[in-house]
Amino acid sequence: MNNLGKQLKRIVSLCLAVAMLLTLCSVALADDEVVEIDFWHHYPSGTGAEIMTEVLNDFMATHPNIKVNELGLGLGEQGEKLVPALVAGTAPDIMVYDLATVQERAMKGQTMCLDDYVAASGMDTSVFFPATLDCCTYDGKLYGLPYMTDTRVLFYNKDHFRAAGLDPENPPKTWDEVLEYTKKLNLTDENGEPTQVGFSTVWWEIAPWTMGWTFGADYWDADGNPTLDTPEMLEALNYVKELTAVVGEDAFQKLYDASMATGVSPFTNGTVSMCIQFNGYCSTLKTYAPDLDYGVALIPTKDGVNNKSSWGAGYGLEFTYKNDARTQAAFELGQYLVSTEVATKFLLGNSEYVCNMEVYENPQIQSDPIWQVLAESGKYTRMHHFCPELPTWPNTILLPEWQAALLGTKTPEEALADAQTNMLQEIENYHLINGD
Amino acid sequence: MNRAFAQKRKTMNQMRKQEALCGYLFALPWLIGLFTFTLYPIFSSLFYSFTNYNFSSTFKWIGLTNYIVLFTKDKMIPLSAYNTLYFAIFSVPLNMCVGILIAVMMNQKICGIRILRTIYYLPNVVSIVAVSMLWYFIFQSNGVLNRLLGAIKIQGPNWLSDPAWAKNALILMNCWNAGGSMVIYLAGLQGIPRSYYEAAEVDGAGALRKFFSITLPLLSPSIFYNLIIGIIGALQTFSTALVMTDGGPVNSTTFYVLTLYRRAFEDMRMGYASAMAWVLMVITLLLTLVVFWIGNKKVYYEQ
Repeated sequence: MNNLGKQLKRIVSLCLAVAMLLTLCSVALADDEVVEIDFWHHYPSGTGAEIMTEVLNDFMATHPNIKVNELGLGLGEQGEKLVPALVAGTAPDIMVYDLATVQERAMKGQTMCLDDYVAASGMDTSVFFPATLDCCTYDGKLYGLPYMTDTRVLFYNKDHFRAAGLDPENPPKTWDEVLEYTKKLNLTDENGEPTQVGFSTVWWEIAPWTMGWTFGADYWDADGNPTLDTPEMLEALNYVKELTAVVGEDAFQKLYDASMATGVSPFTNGTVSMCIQFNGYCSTLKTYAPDLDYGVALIPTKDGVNNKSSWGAGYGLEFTYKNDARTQAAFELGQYLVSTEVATKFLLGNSEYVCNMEVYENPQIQSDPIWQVLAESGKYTRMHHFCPELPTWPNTILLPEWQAALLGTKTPEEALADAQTNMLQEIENYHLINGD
Repeated sequence: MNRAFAQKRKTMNQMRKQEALCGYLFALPWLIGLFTFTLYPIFSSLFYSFTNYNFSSTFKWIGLTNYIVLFTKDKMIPLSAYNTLYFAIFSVPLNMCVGILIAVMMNQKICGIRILRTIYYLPNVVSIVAVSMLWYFIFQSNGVLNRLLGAIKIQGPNWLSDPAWAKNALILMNCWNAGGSMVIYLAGLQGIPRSYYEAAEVDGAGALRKFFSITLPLLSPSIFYNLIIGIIGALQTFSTALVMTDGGPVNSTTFYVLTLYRRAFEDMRMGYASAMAWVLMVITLLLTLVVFWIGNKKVYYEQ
């Protein structure tokens, strides 16, 4: 009886072993045939997610040896999931992540250098907006593929222009013209209460960095040292002070608050005549103010010719190494996603501002005057300089001092000098902590 | 004889050991949670505070450098410490007063009092982000608050965009959460025997006298508890500033924990942020001990 039991056990364990071996073999065989890769993108739901799924299905149909497992992450989830995953080495083979911090991950060795893959595939990287390509470059090597970005342009209300006797086809090109136009566009009712102001002075629309660039300021010298207190920057700050005064701080605040209480910005409901907004604002206007007659133009500059600039941010495609086959497959997917054909689908289907400049040569897009301006603006768009010592420098160092000067608690000279001192201190602190 | 006794003791010991083992086994799920999700992170953050950890795999031991930079070099530290102290000094007493006031009001025996109590407690259940959006509209230049002030001929400030007022706005908004402490005060109030008030009335005490001579002393354990919880909460204030003002304008609402959060997750200085967290922990601990030491003499505990 006992013997029989032992034999039975042996047979069972033998069967199990064989089964396991077979499973292993089949997995190995399957691996040979189909490469499975993980892809985390930035569309948790909506039209973008639908287009993405469709595009991925097309990709898998034309690449039968690759299986893509997609996961769409919302804006907040991205950092939450990707930061720990990158540290733990469980990040997906290919992911969509913030362009502004590609260099940081490249520095830490968390994302893969793509130079060999780009060379082998014969991909032309000059099709991408130059600033987005710079964001993906660290130490002269490419660490990401520019995917989607944004740009900021001047929106102006053509009806307001006509009513004020201004040419609706001739938006301001210089900052001085903006002052001139604004004076004509400010309106009050019989009680002196503001009913319309010429220019939107919310701080993030006329952000310190954007304004500085258009006055020719640069915040970093060739050696990477901060230069926040240049004469150009001072000129920009003084100009914003003047503009704010011409618009009328209280008048603007009243119209802004009244408008935001109804859930739309004051340009949308027609109480502000000009504002600087990002490209996606066109869709907002289409939904909330379909009858608004508006035009877009490049952000004005000091002299209207030089220093054309805009501020942008965006997404890139980054890769992590699992094994050669998977990385190769992931890169093929990346190449497919940034290709003109696929990027066009995202632009036409979801108004995405893609990094591939060839897309804007599409006849349907060429015929749209707004998209033409947006595409041109992309060429002048800049991203924040990556500062390893303090990636958040625009918001934590420059902005508070700039605001203090606008509120009058510091003179513009003091504010910029303080910004420079604080920046140098932060850099010193970083080097103290990191011992170099 | 002796041997049998030793034998018996041995089995007793074994039984006790087995019982202890059983106990630990039952507590095991909780113990695992405690060690992996509480103690391990706490002590690893202590370890990281002595390193330059920045979410990458390479980091090194840098001794006290983080603490030295924190105390002597980082300008955001004195600034955010000042903001936090300002917030705590005004917010904690104000919240306690409002809490006691509401609790006394909610201690009346009137029709529908349960519904009223629920209403006052409700803000504590609502997500802080939703509450922040609501207060955002209250604090606008022509928002609810300024219209009320306008009705009594007071020109209200730009609550959230004026650096001189933004902290005060957040302090005011924090009163919204007084419902949480109200529940504790209410429990304390209901524990005060009616007979004390009756005796005082016989002696001719008025409403104020009764409040200060009976209610407050007998409520002191609840007040003491809320004071400590309030101080700890105020020192950690964070989410409203993040959602409503993002630390601005001009860093006037950049509180200590907001700076900590930015250092950790935006500047990626995880080791440094860990050091900040431990400094806050020690300060909170010391402050609590001081409050305990002073408070214990003043608090009346009924035997």
